[in-house]
Amino acid sequence: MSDLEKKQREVDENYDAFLEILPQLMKKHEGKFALMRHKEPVEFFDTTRDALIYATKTYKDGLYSVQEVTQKPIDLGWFSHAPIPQPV
Amino acid sequence: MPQYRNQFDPGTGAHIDVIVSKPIDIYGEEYAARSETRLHMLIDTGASKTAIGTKAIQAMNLQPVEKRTVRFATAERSVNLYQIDMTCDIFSPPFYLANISVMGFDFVDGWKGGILGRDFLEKIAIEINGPEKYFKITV
Repeated sequence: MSDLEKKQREVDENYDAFLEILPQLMKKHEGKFALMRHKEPVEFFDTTRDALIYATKTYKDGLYSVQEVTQKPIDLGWFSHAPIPQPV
Repeated sequence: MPQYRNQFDPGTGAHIDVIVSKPIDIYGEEYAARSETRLHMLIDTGASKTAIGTKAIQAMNLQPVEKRTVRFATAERSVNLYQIDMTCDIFSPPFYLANISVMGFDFVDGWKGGILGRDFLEKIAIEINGPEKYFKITV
């Protein structure tokens, strides 16, 4: 498995775990950015940048992701009416 | 204040060129400079988030940072978000945005550019004059 595939798997698994706990996180951490590692939130930050700087120093294997604590989906306007893209 | 003004075709919308790269804060100057890519971006007031084509993402070797749900007309789908720096060198001095989160999007026709959504537009002032077919951006 390539590094990119490992990273994608980590991001995917963290996202699934994040969605399960999102209702609880919204109560205390709405608007913050959760640093996720191995399906667990390890720390909350004010910005993605702060989370990434901490994560790159702390986790040399690069296996982490950052999730904004929000329930708002992205709306792409006109492009939202385009055919549904495959995940990338 | 730096300004940019250009004509646009109402049929295709207002576009500007930007340079995107890996974030200097995370990767350092050398890696960031190596990843620089110029993209043709549609100014899209209907989109809540800036998006760039997957071909550009692959060319820059960006790694996903986050996943988010995108609402489409008939369904929702999760997509990757990536962290980039963006430089608009159409302004003098160039307008630089560090560490912005963009969505990877597989544009239907394989378009290599992207769209500048409202997360970008909230950082600038833009005037779109339809009858005279020009737009003006102030940063």
